[in-house]
Amino acid sequence: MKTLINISWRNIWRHPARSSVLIAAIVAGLWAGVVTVGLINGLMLQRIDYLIESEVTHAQVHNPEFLSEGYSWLHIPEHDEIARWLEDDSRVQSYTLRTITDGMLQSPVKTSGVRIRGVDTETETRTTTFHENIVEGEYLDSDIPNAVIMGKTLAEDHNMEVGNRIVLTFEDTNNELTSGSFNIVGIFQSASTTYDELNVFVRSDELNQLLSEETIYHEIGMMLEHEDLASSVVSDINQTFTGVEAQTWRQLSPELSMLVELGDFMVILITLIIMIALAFGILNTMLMALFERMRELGMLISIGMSRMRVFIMIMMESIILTITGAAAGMLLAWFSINHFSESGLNLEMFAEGAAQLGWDHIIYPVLTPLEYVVILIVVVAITMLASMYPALKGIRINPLEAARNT
Amino acid sequence: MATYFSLAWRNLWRNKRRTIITVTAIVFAVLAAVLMQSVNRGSYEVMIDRMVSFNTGYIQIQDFRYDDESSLDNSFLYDQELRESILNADDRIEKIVPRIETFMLAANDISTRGSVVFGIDHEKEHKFNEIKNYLVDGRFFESGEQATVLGQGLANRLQLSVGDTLALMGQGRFGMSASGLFEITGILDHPIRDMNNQAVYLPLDTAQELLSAEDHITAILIIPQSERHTEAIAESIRQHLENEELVAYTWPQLLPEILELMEMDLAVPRLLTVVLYVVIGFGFFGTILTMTMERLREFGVLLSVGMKRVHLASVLFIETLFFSVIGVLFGLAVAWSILKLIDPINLTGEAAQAVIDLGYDPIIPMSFAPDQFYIQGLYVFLIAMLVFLFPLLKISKLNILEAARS
Repeated sequence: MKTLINISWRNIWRHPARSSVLIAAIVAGLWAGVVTVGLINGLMLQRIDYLIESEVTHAQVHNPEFLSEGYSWLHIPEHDEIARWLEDDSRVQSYTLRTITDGMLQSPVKTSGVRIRGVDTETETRTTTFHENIVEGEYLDSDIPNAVIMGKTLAEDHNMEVGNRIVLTFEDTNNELTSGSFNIVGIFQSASTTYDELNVFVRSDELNQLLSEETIYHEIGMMLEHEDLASSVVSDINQTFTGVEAQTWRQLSPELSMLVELGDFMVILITLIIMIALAFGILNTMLMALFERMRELGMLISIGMSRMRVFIMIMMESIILTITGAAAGMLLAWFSINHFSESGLNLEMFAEGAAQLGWDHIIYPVLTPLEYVVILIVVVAITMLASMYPALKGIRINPLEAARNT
Repeated sequence: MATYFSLAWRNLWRNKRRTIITVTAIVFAVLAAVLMQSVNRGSYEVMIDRMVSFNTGYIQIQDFRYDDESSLDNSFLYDQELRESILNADDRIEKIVPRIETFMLAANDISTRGSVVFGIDHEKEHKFNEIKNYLVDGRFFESGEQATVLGQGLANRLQLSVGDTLALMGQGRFGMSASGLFEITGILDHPIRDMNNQAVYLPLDTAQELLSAEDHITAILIIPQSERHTEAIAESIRQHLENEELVAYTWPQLLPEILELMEMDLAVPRLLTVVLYVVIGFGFFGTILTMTMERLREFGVLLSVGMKRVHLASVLFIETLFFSVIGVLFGLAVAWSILKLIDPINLTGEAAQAVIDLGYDPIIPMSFAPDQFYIQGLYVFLIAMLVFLFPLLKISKLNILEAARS
């Protein structure tokens, strides 16, 4: 066995150029796998974090019917008690109450349907980062009465700018149509133009005055100490209170759960494609190498080396090459990920034309130790499989023919 | 020159095994590159296709003020003369579809919702986007009927079903008040999710009467015989249209947000494609390097019997050309067949549910856009040519004596 390892080792260095190309291919494959998975992970996490932090929060409480029906009389009963409960629970970092209704936005230009979100500026800014989306004017925490902020696309559709007034019309809790005139104090731009087109924000106390005689809330959003706590907090709320339904961010936002589910699927699919390319690169190189060595292998077999030993010798060469390549590739990948997870990878050069890249054009790759290990195992396994075929072919040589060939 | 070609051609078949391996390397590279593009673009094409069919059309003619201020005041007269002048503008126009669109309040007896009302010629509309196939209940109205078909989401929110009456209220042309009662003849599962909660369809003439806009419409959708004629048709319409107040837009001009979003989302796959090219490049290099090593002796012999290095290099270059072209063409054919075979990838489990919740089919569609085939084919060809520079370099520096001895 020791002799075989020795021979394999010498064989590798007999063809330094070929061996280094093989190692380079393995390094490139491993690096590619790690960078790909890291990038997609980073992209997904960034989008999920953005949506959670700016809007959805870790968990929300509603009247069970509210989300599907959207009527303003479907508010949260006993919201004070829920708020007190949240205040006392150590898992909850912060929470905010929102008054929400569907209605219409009228400007001199036209009318469109919008969801009107009444927020409490103080607790909202503590809980979410939505106020960072303001691109013009200011957030709702100004002194201007009846303030509203609207999305950039919606404002452009209506030819509205900061300082203009619009009329919001909606049904109050008694199904009577009611209207209020609001002053545009700010324009926001979130990650989704559809969201910008369909949502406007006002202060909840001002919306409440128009909506109902008592103070009502339709949504409680909360940020927790850690996102993994979401399901336990949600089930506790659902057990403690009746007439409300608490949901985690994954249940709340189909976009988010699609990102999570489809993201995983895309990682697998794309890694698979890259691994196919890697496997065939290695397989072809190995095959070529084998044909070049036909004569040599034929000679070894004819002077009495057993076919098993020849097989082991070829495999041993592959194993040594793979281990070297994998170690070097891991190191390179680890450095790349570390470097880019700090400085971020700017994607601007990969977008065509004049397209403006939005908020996530700098990606910070993320990779868990487990994923490193999985990728390592996959790449090593693929390399071993790809070298198995040439090795098998190698021991089926007819020594007479092979020795005769040039 | 012809000698070089026949020499190169014979070299190719002298060692079939080697040729097959090299060509396979290229085939798999092309396959991987095309797959990568196709997987990433497929979903967007479906999305754009829906937006074009149900929202904008390939080309849209509007009043020049409508884009800025999309109100009924900026509608235009739609008569026989205009129809003919558009149809005569370019003979590649398949058909034209008129629409009138405005925002109105939709109500049942107790509650009100914002809605987008479309007055449509249902026969023409169906021929364009097969809208009747999306009916989940009832039937489509006939023209002139005081009847409506609405989106399922809206119907659910207003708790209305087929046979019930829908009230529409709003503003017609030049501020005329518009209101009417309509019998619901059908419910539609609208393929665009946002529209499902908002869309109300009326017969074109009924809508015009309701909105005091007799013979007026807000947009003409133009359907070209083939999508690739879009730009050309838009151009000839711009030249032939006598009414100077009308303008023609193509769908990229009408859907800038989606295209921008697509650019943003495609930045990561583009980066990953570069990663893939690196893997492909190393795979090639390994194959080519080993091939060159194997043939060094042959090169040495040729040179020592008096073949000029330039000539040998030319023969090798032509060989390379053959390899690459055959490989790329084969690769494209294989890629196309495999895409056909796996299209669309069906999602299962939670991923499928997440996509359904978002209003899409639980599939990952493949893109068959022709440009990805020839662009990826060209890139792989260029990579192959680049890598094949190596044997040429090797020849120019080859030590004849050593090579012939090896």
